[in-house]
Parts: sequence; structure tokens; C-alpha cells
Amino acid sequence: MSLPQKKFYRQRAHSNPLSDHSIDYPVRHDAMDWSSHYPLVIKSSEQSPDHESSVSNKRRKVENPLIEFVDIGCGYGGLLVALAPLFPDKLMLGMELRVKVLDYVLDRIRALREQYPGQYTNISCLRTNAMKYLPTYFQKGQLSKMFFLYPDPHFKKAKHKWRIINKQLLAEYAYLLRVDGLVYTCTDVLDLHQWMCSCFDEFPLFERIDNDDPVLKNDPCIEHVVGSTEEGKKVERNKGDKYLAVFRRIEDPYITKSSDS
Amino acid sequence: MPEIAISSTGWLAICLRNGIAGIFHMKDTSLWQYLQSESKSNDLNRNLIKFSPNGQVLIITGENKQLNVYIAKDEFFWQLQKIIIVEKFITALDLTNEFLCIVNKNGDIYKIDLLFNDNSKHLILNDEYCIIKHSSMILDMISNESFILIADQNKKICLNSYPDISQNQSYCLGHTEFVSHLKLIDNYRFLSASGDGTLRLWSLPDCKPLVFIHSKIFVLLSKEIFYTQLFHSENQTFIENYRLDAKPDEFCSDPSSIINYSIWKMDIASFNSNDSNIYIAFSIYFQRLHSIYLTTLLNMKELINEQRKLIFDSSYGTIIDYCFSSKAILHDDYRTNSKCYLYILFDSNTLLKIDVISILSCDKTELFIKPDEDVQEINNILASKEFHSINNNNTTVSDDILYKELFKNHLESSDNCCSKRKNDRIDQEQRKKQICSQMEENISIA
Repeated sequence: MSLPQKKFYRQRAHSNPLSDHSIDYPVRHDAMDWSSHYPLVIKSSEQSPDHESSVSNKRRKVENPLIEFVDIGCGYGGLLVALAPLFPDKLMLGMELRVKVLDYVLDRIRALREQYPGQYTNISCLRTNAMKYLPTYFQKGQLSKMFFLYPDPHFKKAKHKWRIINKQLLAEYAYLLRVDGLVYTCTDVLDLHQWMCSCFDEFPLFERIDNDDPVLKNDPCIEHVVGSTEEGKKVERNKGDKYLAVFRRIEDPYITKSSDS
Repeated sequence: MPEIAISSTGWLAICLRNGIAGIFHMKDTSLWQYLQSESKSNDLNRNLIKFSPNGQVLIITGENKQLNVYIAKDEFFWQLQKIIIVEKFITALDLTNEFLCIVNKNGDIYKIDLLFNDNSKHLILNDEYCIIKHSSMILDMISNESFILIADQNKKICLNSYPDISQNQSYCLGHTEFVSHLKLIDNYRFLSASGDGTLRLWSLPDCKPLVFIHSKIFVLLSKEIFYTQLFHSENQTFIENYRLDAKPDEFCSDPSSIINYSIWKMDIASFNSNDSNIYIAFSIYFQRLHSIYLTTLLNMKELINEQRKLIFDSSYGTIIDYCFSSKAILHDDYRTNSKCYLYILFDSNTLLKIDVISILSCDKTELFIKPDEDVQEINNILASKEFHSINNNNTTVSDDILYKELFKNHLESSDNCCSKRKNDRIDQEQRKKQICSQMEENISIA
């Protein structure tokens, strides 16, 4: 199967995240069967998933690895495809609201798996509304990296509530990320960058890592965060600026204070 | 829209179908007061009257997106203290003794201090009162000094710790349809009811599911008790006919659809942390007009045959709303006679008082109850011209049209625009795949 061509998968760039798109989402994270997304890595359970029986659940968790990297608004899948060979044992998931774009990514992954057998088995994508349904897919502290690359800026004040980074959603992301997990944000719109930084700064569970920090210099993801996605390449072509900001999820200062005293 | 609420100090507030709201004292029925003449309903027709835990403050939604706040003055008189003006319809509210939390249609939660400092009559709700912005419609909420529990349309129950809102969020996941009711049992447990027909018990603050039970079990196992106002001990067939008349089941189009067993309304009375003393009353969608199920929490965990179904004959009319008398009153009664009462409001504007404990141990099938004197006085007042003369509004809104909208993802209705869009999308995908495969064929041929 050949790689899909983008011209058959064009879709409008904006999609209303607050409307109901009749998306199917699991009731709980352990009710979700990931084996269709990662066929060689996750074995589907033979017995029907019964979340009243905790023994079979524990067994499943020990056998099957959990998703650790999430790309929210993955677009045409550039980041996932670039990161897959770098972290072959980590499972990565992309989330996208637009249907045709999602189909493109799924076809691309399928084509890559056929062309390079044994590789690209750790990435997949699904259609969901990350603003509403994110906590149903993962358990607390499951994720180690989250990517928000070139999110829709929603310039008008009335549309600010559609932005993917805001105070209420940060609480959800903090719940899903493990301690010392990282959030990568990148955008070419200065206003959005400042908004995102101020949201994260005000939120007590995240701290900013400076762009010059050695942690980031040694991080293999950074160059892909900035350049591998379609948006990133477009910004380079137009010679725009890129603003990168990385944040680490820290321990709850409330709890550590009370445990000290 | 019509609702009934009881305060811990013995006041009963009723809001009738035609918009009139009044308040009665349960022990001394001469102390009644007419409160307002127009109460507009919101989409879900719920949560519109609430008392604060100490019984000093009463909130009723008024006309056109207003909330009326009444304060008890001198134990005899309720005065309209404040009118709160909101921009969007309110879907849920909850209050403690110090503050009021309101949720609007968009899912934004506002907190208002109830100790009003200024003397102005009106308060306009704007963004500075907003504490949390949720992204989906919230159907019920419990707010308390230490946490806020939110039940939304997307099957999630979200627990936010209150003073420090952004942190410490956890989720109670497990319902398979929207969650419509949340009731707190004590500081460590709460009960939720949902459109999928289950009642689930959860523990706080770790949000673990403890027990869940589906309403179908109650439909099959409950002993039916038939209430009638007329009683002929000799004429058995008369009773049988009455019983058949009184039970029209209001199925929603397809009898096997999810909506029929969904929980329409639930209330809980707990005056003791002993599970056998926590009483639950709920009704199921397709039997919502004439039947109420009664059970205890202990029965939910281990079915010990303490569930009863009360059926009211059609002479009472249809059931509008019901509630238990609140904690403090039960406490008094518990020390003396251990009684627990359920007050039911019918659309013939009559009130009925039921002794729950004797019902749960009752084995008869027909009951005739002598109407309680206090309740009878209230009924007389409700029926009197004096009460109704001020308002001639007779519009009634059908309660269940908007309820069905909440099931939109699962109910197969022909004018369901979401499923239409889904079908369109699937058609488009198939067409596109055909085009793709044709192009591939063309390329391989050429």
C-alpha cells in the first residue's frame, strides 16, 4: 500500500471543539480495547472485559503496556511518525477531531507498517474531542509526555474558551500526567504563546523549563516538536517565528508542605 | 418545574405547575405564605428550589433567568432578599450556609456569597463570580466547604477540591449514560443516578465505585403496594379494576430502549450512618407518572427484600415531585418514634405523606391511608381560590421532551441530527475509498 496523498484528505482547518460530534468514547480507561490500534504490541483479552472482576484487570495491566505519549491535535501525523523510531518501546497516541485528517493519519500508519514491517507498531490515532473526553481514556498519572503543537489560536475573545490550554483543562492534564512528566507546546503566534505560558505559570502543578536548559538540549523530541509537523514545515517555509515552551509536572506543593510540617 | 423541598427547620416549599410558589410550615399550617407567581422552567425542570442546610435561606428560580433568594426572618416570615440575574439558563444549583453555587447552561460554575453586604435588590452575575469553566453541560452538582462534585452529560462525575480549585481533581467514571442525580450520603460516600438506569454508590475522596444496581432488578423484584383513596374491603374486583386503570405505562416509543429504565428522579434520606437507615426513593422513566420505588442502602448492597413499589391510583393524578423530610426533622423523630416520611406532590395539587418505614416492612397489597391532618390542611390551602387567584397562568410544559435530548447519542430517532451527520460522514468515507481505489487502478493500468 502506498503512502496516502494529502490532496484526497483536505478538510477545513477549524472544527468547533465544544459541539457534540457523536464520538464514541469508552466509559473508563480499562474498558477500552487498544489491541486494534497496536496489533502486535497489545494482545486483545480473550475473555470479555469485565471491570467488576479486578483480578483479570490486574493481569491485563501487567501484560499490556500503557500509552505514554499523547499528541493532542496531531494533524497529519508528522510528529508521531518522526518519534516512532526514537522510542520503539513506548506507545504513542494521536488525537484528532477532524475526520478526514484522521483518516489520512490512519492510512499513513497502515502504509508505513506495510512498507517497514515490524516498525511503526507503537503509534496510532483516534478521533475524539480531547477537551471533553480525555480523562476517560487514561488513568491518573499514566502519561509521561503530552504534545500541543501549533494549536488553533482562536484569536477572538469570544472564542478563547475553545483554546486547548486553559485553567480548567490544565487541571485535567495535571491529573493525567505523572510527576516529572513533560508538556511540550509550540506555536508561531506570539499572543497564544504568552497566553499559554501565563496559564501554566499560574497553575501550581507545572513549572517552566527554560529553553536553554540542558534537559532540553539532550531531549531528542525537541527538534521534531519544532520541525516535523506539517504546521512546523509551513511556518519554516514562510519564515515565521517559532515559540517553544516546555513545562514539567511537579509534585503537589500543598501535599509536600503538609507532609513536611 | 413543579417541585417540592423541605427545610431542616420544618418549612415546606412548593412550586406548582402553573408557576405559583408557596411555603408552608409543617407543624403550624396557619403560617403559610405565597411567594411568587412566576417560575420559569429550565431545560431539565429540576433543581429549582433549594433550602440551605440550616434552613434560613431559600432559593427559587423566578421568571426569565432570575434567581430569587428568600431569607427567613423571625421564624414566621420569609422575605425576598435578593434577585440574582443570570445570562444563561441555570441547570443546577447547590448551597451551603455561606455560599451558593450556580451552574449555567455552558457548564460555568459561579459562586456567590450569601452573606450579602449591600442593600441592593439585584445582583447581576458576571465573570468575576465564575470559578470553574467546564466544557460540557452539567446536570447536577453538590457543593460543600471542601469539594465540588459535578455530574455532566458525558457520563463523568468530576470531583474538584473546593478552596484550591485547580488541583486535586479526580473522576468517578463508570456510568454508561449521562449522570442526572447526585446525592451526598455523608462525607465519605455519595450516590449517583443516571440515564442508563443504574444507581451507583461511590466513595470519596478516592472516587472508587462501591456498589451499583440496575433499576430492572427493582422492577422485577419489588413488592407492589397499591395506594388508593377509596377503599372497599368487600369489593375485591373493584380494586382490581382500579389497579389496572392506574397503571398505564408510559413507554417511550420502543419498549426496549434505554430510556425506559432510566432513573427519572431520585431522593435520599439519611439520618444515621447505618446503611439500613438510609432510604432511597426513585422513579423509573416508563413508570414515572404513578409509581415510586422505595428501598434502603443496605438493600442495594445485599438484596434482602427491602424494596417496595408504590403505585398510586389515578384519582390522585400523576406524580410531579417528591422528597424526604430533611435531616434535622428526622433526627427528632428518630429519637422518639423512628419515623421517616416521604412527601409526594401530585398534579391535582395534592400532597401526600407516606411513612416509609412502615411501608418497607409492609406485606399488604392495598393500602388506604387516612390523610394526615397537617397535610390535609395544606391540601385545602392549595386547592383554595385564594392561592390561585393571583395567577391565571395555565401553561404546562412537557417534562420529557428535553429529557430525551440528553440521550441523543443512543436513541434512534429519525430527526436526530447527530446520527444523520454520522451517516453522512460514513457515506462520504466510503465514496472516497472508492475513488482512491479507482485512482490506484488507473495508475497501475497506465
